[in-house]
Amino acid sequence: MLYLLTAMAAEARPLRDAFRLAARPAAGPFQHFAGDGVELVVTGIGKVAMAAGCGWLAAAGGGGWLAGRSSGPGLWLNVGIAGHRGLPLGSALLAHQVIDRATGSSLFPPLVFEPPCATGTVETVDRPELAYPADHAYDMEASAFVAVARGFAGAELVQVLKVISDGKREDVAKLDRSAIGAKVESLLPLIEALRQATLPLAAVLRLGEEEPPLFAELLHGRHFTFSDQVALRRLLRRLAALSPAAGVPAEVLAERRGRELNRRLGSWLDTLPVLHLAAAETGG
Amino acid sequence: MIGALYFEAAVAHHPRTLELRRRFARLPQIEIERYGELFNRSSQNFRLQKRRPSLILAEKREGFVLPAPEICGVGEEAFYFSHLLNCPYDCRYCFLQGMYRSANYVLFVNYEDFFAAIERKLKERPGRRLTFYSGYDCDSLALEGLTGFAAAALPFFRGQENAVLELRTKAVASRALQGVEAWPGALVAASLTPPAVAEVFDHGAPPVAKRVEGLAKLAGKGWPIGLRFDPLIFSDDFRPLYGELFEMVFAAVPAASVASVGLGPFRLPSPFYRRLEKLYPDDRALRSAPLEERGGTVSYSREREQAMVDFCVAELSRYLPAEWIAGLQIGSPGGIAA
Repeated sequence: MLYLLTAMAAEARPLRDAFRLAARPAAGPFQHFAGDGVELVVTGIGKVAMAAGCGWLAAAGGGGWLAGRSSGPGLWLNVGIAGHRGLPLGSALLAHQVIDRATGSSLFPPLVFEPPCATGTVETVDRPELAYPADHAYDMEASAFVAVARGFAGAELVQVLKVISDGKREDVAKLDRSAIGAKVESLLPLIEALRQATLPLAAVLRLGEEEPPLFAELLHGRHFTFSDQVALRRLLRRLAALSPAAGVPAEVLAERRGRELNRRLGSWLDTLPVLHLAAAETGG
Repeated sequence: MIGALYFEAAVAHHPRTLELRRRFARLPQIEIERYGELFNRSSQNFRLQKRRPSLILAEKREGFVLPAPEICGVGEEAFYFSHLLNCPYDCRYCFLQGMYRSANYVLFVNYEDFFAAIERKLKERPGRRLTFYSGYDCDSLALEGLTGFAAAALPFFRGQENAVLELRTKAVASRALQGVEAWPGALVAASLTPPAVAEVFDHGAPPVAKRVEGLAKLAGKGWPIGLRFDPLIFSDDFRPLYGELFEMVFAAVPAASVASVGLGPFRLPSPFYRRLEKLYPDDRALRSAPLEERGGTVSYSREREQAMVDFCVAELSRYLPAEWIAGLQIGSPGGIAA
């Protein structure tokens, strides 16, 4: 999955077109678009709006934690324009540091993949920065995005990609919707590269969400307390590790009480051989 | 492969920082205030970071030298120090995965402050022989090419009459110590598991045969060798596996070069083990083990532990003198990186 968050509709437009995203029925305060493996939320300008947009996406949108319909782990990417005193207009920048000017705090999106473009510091300000005092890209949402989104997606899958739209010689007030759209459009190959680079990371996280084989089947019609379910998961993962092809014996399956089934399953598992030579040969 | 280089402002002009910045000039280089800003934060994932860890250059400010856990050291009184946090290898039983959320390497570049603290410890205990143990939060030699720590530490320790330095490692130690002259006050302690076990658990570490070959070379040059069969990993075929390992080791390393031997049954603090389970739900090696939870520690049953230790002691007695066997270190502090 790819979760895109922009502050402005003008930033979202080229993303909607490129990923063929359709508007979702208005179910909340944000414009929400979705397509094949991609969701997009337009949050509004500023940190508060971005924080709210992240929370909404996680709870009610494709993040779906509260709605129980999560689309699964994926890259959360804040895409948008930023100002910079020195970089040429149209330069792309992946944030390796995000500073919140109001608090002075910094967050560091981990670079666990080869960055597809230059990296740099993004400084988030509460009002448009026209003096560009440091060698930073200035925006108005990134610090809130990173701080909130990493709570849902994990630090490694939360990234900020900016395109330089204004600087000392290019007034931000002169930017119109089409100019913003064109700048964001230039980021599309980088967005795709980031998505591809983070797919293996999301796949790893997805492993943790998958139930072991037989789990749902054994829960059906039996009473397991929460801690019994935790124990059952552990036993079934051990079964998969020891003997993926082995079925659970009929006398264990016949047990209708959850805890007793766990006990019998555990006793049976203890009778299976643990062989590291065999594990090595089968790529254990 | 290193993803990015972070450095604390306090060590920005330290010669080691400058050298590493020159060396990794093509990487993103980011100045930070303190390494805790990005190391081990709650939303980080060790397994994901392990794919491409970053290097963080930091200043150690306190706690340079600490009393070693009971089983770690080889001397009567032992201390450990951690100039480096984390390790390039990815051993599935390693406690670092449970202890840290971040797989980034934190290198404390102010080595001289460690040496000063070690000197103070020695002065506080005049005439007593103290062991200083490196490799608790890292592998002592695996990143030597990057850190140059051993190259800096060995000349210092050579000048300390009552100090013993233990470098614990899974690296091919002879490569890291190439050209360094042996002396009795520095011990290379190798963590070894049977090759078939290492193949499924010791991801990224050199093959056991290469490690043993490296030990043999060092032994030939007069280095005292420590053998750490730690952790002892259970399988139904552990007897032939460990028997063959001992045979391989003692065929290459003369018993006379062996300064100490340790056996450590697998043990991990329960919270660390739970974290490992979550990080690697797909890992067969980790899950196949018949583990139990006792007193906040996850380990094999007492019977299995005892059977493994008894077998290993009996086997080792074929190669080592009886007084050695009596003094064998048995046990595990539940956490040693290398």
